[in-house]
Amino acid sequence: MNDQRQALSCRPQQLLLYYYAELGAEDLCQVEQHLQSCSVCCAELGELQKLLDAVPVITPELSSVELGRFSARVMEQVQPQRRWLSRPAWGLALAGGVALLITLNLNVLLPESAPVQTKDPMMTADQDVLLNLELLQDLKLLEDLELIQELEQLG
Amino acid sequence: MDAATEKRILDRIKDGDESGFEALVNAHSSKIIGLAWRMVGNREDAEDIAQEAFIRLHRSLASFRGDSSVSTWLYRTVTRLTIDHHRRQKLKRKIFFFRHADSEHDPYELAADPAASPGDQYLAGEAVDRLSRAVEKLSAQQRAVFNLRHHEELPLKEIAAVLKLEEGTVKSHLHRAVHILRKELKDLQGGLT
Ligand SMILES: [Zn+2]
Repeated sequence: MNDQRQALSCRPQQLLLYYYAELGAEDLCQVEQHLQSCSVCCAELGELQKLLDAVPVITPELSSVELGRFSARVMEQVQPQRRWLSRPAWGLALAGGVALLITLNLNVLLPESAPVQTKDPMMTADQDVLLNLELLQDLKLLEDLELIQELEQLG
Repeated sequence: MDAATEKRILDRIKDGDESGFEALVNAHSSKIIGLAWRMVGNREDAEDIAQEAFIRLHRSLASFRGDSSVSTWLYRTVTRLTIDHHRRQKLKRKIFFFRHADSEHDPYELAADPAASPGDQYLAGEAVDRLSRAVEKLSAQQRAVFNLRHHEELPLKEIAAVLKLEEGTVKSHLHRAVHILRKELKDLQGGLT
């Protein structure tokens, strides 16, 4: 309010922050003051509220049994003695083999002239994503292997 | 779990006593699975991502410096993992589209996670289905910011800390996300609930 003109001008960007209660005291004061006299911003805020109030806030609920099962799975992964007991040696060998195959496939995948790159420059960025985003050591190794093989078939 | 209890558990883990780790998992699992679920849209992937986050937490605990809470750390890790997941899904769809370019089927629909049974979807109903499709139009970052602000009700400041972004950048993502949702859901406003 030290600047009356600013308080009176439309600042539509502020309305979303107003909705989410993200304005500092001074901005809040200005927006509220402005809303009292500006029908355009009032209407705009109304539209925003209608949309965002209608986007349901849903929190998926898991039962305590399901959460217990989840926790057990995590603990099985992080406690070495239990993991070694529960996973047959060939499982590890397979995982090693998969990692090797992925390495081999990536070598095939990445020549610069791969047609899939010339078709769509976005694919280059996506391949970076493939390489950089912890894909290989992460989730679902086998599924990713399949994905890489599909890529290779395209190329 | 209060901060003091969490600190006690972390200190014990640093001293080699890992018995408290399960308590950390139990304290955070519901929120963390929920966040991942909303981000990826199905329970199976959400649980995989949450599990991976806890495994990484376990690996990092010895060096956990406590300059962020376990909760912030988990939010950050899950958000990153879901962003990766989202990009991978997009790439899969692209591949599918290349392979089935002549097909009249909607590649988005057909490339949906086959493991996700209808019972797995926490979102149901036509209007809410439209919402999930609209959310699909958001970039991974926009989706993360929108989910964290709208559903998790995290303040923008905290989202900036979770995503390691400037607060101004977070605001831009939020503005952009709402702008897109608004465009996509124009005809549905008032009929979403
Ligand atoms: Zn105005």
